[in-house]
Amino acid sequence: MPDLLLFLKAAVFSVSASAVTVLALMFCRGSADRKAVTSSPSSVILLLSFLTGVCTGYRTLGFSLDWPPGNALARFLEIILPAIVLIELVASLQKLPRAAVWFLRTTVAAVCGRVLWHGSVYLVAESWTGLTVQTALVLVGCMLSLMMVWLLLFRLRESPVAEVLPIALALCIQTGGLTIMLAGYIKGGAAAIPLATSLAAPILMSLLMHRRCDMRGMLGVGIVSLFSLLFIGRYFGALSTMHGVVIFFAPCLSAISLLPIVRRCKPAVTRLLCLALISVPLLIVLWQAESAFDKRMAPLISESPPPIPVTPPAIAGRG
Amino acid sequence: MMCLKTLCRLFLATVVTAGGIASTAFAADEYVYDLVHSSVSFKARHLDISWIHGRFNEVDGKFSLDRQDPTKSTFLLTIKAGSVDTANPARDEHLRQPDYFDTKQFPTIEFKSKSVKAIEGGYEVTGDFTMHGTTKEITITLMGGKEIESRGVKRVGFSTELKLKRSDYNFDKSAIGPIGDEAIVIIDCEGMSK
Repeated sequence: MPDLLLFLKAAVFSVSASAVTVLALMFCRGSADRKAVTSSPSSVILLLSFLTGVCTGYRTLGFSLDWPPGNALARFLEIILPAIVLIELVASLQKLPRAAVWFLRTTVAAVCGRVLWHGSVYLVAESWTGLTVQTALVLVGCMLSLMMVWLLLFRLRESPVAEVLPIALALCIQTGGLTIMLAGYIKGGAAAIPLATSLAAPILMSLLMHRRCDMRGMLGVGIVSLFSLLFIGRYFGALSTMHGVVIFFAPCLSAISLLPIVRRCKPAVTRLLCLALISVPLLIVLWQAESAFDKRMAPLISESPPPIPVTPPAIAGRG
Repeated sequence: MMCLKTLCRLFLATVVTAGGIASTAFAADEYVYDLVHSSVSFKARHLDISWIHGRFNEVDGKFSLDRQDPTKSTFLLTIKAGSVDTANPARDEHLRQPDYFDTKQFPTIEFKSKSVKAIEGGYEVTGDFTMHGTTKEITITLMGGKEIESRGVKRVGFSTELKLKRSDYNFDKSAIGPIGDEAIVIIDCEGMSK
């Protein structure tokens, strides 16, 4: 049974931790460099805030990390997530050429699915990669989809909707979590809470302070988190392919901001339009997942007994 | 003459050795698990007031029984975790998910014997029990072992009951709520000789 109070606690702690971290780091940077007092939070600050929020959230949820990781969710939390945060941190420090950074990002996209599948029924012992032609094609498809969405969102980082992209990703992650939970995988769904809140909180904090943020790192972390969560939900839980695909590609709707007619609108209107547009498929998915849950799972956790079937009274004097 | 004696001794030694090997080879009878006449079922407490019953429909296994030297007997049982059946498809689907059996990650539940000891009315078998990716050494008491021949097939049957705690096998602690931590597994197994 999902513990709603615990989930709420994790969300609050996660938001608080990432918001406090972003403020503290901005203050520290301001103290160290007078010129930077009025500047925006850098990608490094946002990533560190995200990391703090995520760690706090998972600790509150009681997730324990054992090595070696025993299941797909643990592999995401212990391998994929630290790897992408590290890559984005290195990329934010601008010590590496852009081509090298994209090579690392592509590597993460390429190995992500294989790492999550490790030791599962999807792999075979005969091949050294563990992959068959069919599973290799699935992973190539997943990698191409991930890179496509990543590149599109990266291109939108200069557009008026840049600020809301991590928020849109957070919405998708949370919707993904709820859908996975409604499909029966409670812990997998709960894993979305710290990710979504830690992604949105530092950005909302910066927006409240009217600062422009450097979104690159948060986009990478957000898109890989969304992909991994949906991948785990699809291949280890009971998330449907259709729901997974719709949630994953929903952030692409923010490309509406590239249309000339939308470009003429005020930035605030464009952002709201973008978020509203992304919310539509997410709400449809949630509604469908909830209906399916009611149909399939609700009788298991229902507090009232099922109705007793009424049998017609025996006809007296028959025969 | 010496040469003939040596040859005779060599022949005798060969016969004795071969006989020994043969007796060892034939002492252990091998049996395969008969799915039609066996069952692996379980029950767990619901809200600590009643029991929920379930079974695993796909089980495989084999065992060899050495009547003369029971310590040489072996037992192997492999249960397909995805075949869990509690007479409620929605609950079964939920049980297959990572909150419970995580059948895509851990498709089988396995028992492999390490040592066997004959006791009155059966055997005491110690072995590795692997479930949900965690292996623990357990000792089970197999009662039975009587062999009969039916339609030209040798059959032998065993029964056992064991108590397991889900928390010992790395099951998600938050999923141990209305359904109790402890489960009682009942194995009734019939083996057929090859």
